[in-house]
Amino acid sequence: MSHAAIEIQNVHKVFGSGPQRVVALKDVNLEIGEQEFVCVVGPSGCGKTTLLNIVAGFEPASSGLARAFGQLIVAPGPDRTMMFQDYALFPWLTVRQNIEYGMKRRGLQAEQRESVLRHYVELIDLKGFENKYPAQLSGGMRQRVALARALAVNPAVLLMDEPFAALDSFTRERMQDELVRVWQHEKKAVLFITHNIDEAIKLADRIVVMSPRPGRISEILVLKSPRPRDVDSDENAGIAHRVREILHLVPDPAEKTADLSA
Amino acid sequence: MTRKAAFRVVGVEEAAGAPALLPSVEPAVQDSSASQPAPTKSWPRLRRVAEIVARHWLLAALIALWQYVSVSNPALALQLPPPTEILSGAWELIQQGMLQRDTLASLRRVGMALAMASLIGYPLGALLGASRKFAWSVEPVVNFFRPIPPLAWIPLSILWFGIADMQNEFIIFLAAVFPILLNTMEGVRDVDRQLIRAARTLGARRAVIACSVILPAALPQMFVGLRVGTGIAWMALVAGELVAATTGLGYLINQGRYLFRPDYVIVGMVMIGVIGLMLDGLIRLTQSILMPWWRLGE
Repeated sequence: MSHAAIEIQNVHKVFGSGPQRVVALKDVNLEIGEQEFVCVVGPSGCGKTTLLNIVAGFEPASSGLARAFGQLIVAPGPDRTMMFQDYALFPWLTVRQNIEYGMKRRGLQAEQRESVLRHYVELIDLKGFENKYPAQLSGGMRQRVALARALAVNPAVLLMDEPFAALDSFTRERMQDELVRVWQHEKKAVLFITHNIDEAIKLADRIVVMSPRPGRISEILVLKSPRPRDVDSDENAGIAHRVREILHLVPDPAEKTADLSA
Repeated sequence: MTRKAAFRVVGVEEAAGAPALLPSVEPAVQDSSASQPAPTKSWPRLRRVAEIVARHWLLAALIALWQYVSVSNPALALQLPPPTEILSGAWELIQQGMLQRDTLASLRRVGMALAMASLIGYPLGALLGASRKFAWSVEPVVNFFRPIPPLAWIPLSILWFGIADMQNEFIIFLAAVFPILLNTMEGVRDVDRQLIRAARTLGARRAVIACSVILPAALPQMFVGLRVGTGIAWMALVAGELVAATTGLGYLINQGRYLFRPDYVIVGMVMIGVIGLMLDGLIRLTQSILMPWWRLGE
């Protein structure tokens, strides 16, 4: 029997206690298929990064279950690699050494590493820059190196925490196209966090819309149109409108009472 | 093909750290346009030498003035001999073997003390930075001893060790160990947590993360500790030798005073300055060799 890549069941996450108690996630349920691209959108404070950290294994859920391929998630591991907004490349390693880092931890031999390295350097268009240090690269190139580093250990799941948020809008669009291209080339389960609705529409099979206080899933939208997607098409504009409706136009009852009491 | 032309420009910009504006579809540049354009070799180097010479004109003028005033005023020359006399004093000291002996004695003391300070300061600082539990009870101890100037230990250390190498090394050790320890602690504490997380998702375990992430990330700060520690150690050395030693540059200076040889004193002073400068340069050289990535982005 095959499991979903990621299963999240009734996950709650609470930070602090007493008057400082914050419910970051409330009753979150989500399944991600083996080759599915799922984007999570929502305003800051909706718990999307907390959700990602639980799936990554950086922090445990307060209650509920998180599984990867049927196995309980207890720690980070190279089956679920993560990309960060600020690249998190090792500045003391060259592009080549950064990409090789995870492969070395997995004990791959030099020849294997070299062939994987060459594959990704070509796939993400970094040929000629293998011996540069991250500080010598532009933001877009750094994030491409981070993508290569995350993919080089051949993870089953790719976790992305607003990876393009720090890039200028041109570079960001180009990186989105490139990510779609790479993902279509090597399909994996992807959990992609963003606060950019257009980005989610360009990338996702499904969009998970989350709301804050307490962080929860409001709605899940399915996108069927083929990629590359035109964000301005009627269908996609409708989806974007729907996301905005969920996030802004339907007032949250809990929020309303909070506002009144304030 | 317009795209290809545009792309080449992008490649160059990207190598220089500028954000790319256009998509690069072809494989990226491998030719020389990816790296910095090679500067013409001899001409800028000559210019640099000329610049260095030009920059020191004021210093040279002051030395010349010193020479003139001192030679034309014999009463003053007794207290402040002219540079030429200092040079001949230095030559005397070299012929007697004193300058070499004292320089080596001082260097050996600093070397021993710095080795001890590193041996204790780096691991202890790393532990303090890595473990809050450890720091909770050990930091008060460090904070108790840190504000006591190393020179204040001189009388007590003479009681303990007498006038020996050990006594000097103890003072120098105290001077160097705190900058090393505290900077290492800060460096380890300030390691970007995202880097540790990135390493963990890539499959690195704790021991591997300590060596492959925390150490290189804290290394610049550890070098700051070594540089500051060495600078203070060198000062403490001279102070220690002035009071309690039978060799060393501090001793040489003090002997110069007893013998009423201000030229010896100044030779010792200049030597101390030159060696201090060289030690700092040596550390910086080591740093740039060990950390080629350092300061690339600036």
